[in-house]
Amino acid sequence: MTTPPTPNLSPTKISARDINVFYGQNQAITSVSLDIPAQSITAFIGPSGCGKSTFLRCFNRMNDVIPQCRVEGVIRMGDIDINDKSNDPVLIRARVGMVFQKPNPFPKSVFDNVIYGPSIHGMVTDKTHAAHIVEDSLKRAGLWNEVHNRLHDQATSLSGGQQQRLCIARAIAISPEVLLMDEPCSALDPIATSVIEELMHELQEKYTIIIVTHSMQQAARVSQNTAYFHLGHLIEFGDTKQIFTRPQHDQTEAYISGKIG
Amino acid sequence: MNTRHISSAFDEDLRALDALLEKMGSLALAQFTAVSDGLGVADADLTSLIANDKKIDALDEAVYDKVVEIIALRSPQAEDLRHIITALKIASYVERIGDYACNIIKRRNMMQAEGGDLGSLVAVKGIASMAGEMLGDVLDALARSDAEKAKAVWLGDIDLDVKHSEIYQAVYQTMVAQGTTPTGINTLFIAKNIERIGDFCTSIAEQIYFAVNGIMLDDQRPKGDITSE
Repeated sequence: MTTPPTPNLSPTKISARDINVFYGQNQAITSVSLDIPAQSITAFIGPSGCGKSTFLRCFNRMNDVIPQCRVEGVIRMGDIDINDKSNDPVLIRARVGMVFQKPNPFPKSVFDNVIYGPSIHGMVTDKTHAAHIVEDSLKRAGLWNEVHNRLHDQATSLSGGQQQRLCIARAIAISPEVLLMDEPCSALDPIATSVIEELMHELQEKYTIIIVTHSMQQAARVSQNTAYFHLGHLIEFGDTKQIFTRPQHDQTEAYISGKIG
Repeated sequence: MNTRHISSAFDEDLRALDALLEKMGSLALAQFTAVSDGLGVADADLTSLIANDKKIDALDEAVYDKVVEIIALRSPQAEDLRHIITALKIASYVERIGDYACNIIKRRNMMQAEGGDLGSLVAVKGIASMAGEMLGDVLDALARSDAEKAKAVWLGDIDLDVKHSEIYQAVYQTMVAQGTTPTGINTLFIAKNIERIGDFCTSIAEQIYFAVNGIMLDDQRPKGDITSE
């Protein structure tokens, strides 16, 4: 078993060992081992097709929904192996929430979007409790002040940035331990991006966040640790400050500096 | 890494920055070499060299502007970031070397105006030559991004320090014994300015080493200046 790099002394939230991912005959991830530190932000960077989103989706079994996708290895979170197929992916996704590239609110009201997850997981006791969950989630997502008098408007009537924060509120409404964010700001303008980044900064006190981003400046701004992937291999994983000032591998240096050989 | 950026404009910016530094270094080296050669020569016209310092100052400002522009427009990372930040510091050190060269000229002119014996400056020609060689070597290390050559300059400063201390002691003894205080003071100032130019060469060497390797040279450089002990 490969010994993973240890970026810092924070306790480990998720421990991935010897992960291999295949799409049919094609191998997308090769022998990646990685420890995700708890209550911090870890960024996955790398060129398109490097496997960073594929690897991210391993953490909540989203690859299960892709035909012919096969994930090998152990992904330990607390007492469970996320990759053990006997574990219910729905329950895993309650512990590991996800926010996608494009805001994808349900075609329902703002209120219904947030309460949907808690409802299907049987977490809501009554209407008062439901209202409390919605308000608390929207406040934690930094959206409450903007939508508290629009709770029953269609979620799709919100701006793109508001919709993405609604998706974050929806994800945290079921009190997950981990938030996966797959290029959460790539469809947003710079102001909405800044708001989401500030929100991530606040959320990391309570959640472990893993973000896939094509923006190296975003990775540098928001994360404490950064992993650089290339052609399905983990090239370098370490303290973000070090990765962006003194990377250990020439491949990392070339990528973050925008260089070609 | 001998790689080029996907953005050719970024490479052009870095080349423009390097060209500014190279020009600054060439001017400072030429200025100091002329000062060094003319130290003890009564009819040497060194005063005209002071005007060169304005050119060095203007280039220092140009480096500053270029660095700010590159940071704002290119978001440099890693090796590029070190390259740019160290360029800013190196420009500042070269600018100070130009200032010290001017100070030497002014002190020498003062000696001459007071009827002092310029022949006494023969004593400092040796350390001026050493400092000139350090400056030439460190600028060459800069042009080649040669961290090992930079480190050799850094280590070599102790020889200049030792020689400076010897000059200090000798001039001091002469001042006490012969009462040649004005000439002695000017000689000591000139010697100190030369010693400081050597120090700036070591500072430039440290920046080159950091730019190339991403780590600072440790602070265990042997030092030989005992004039204040």
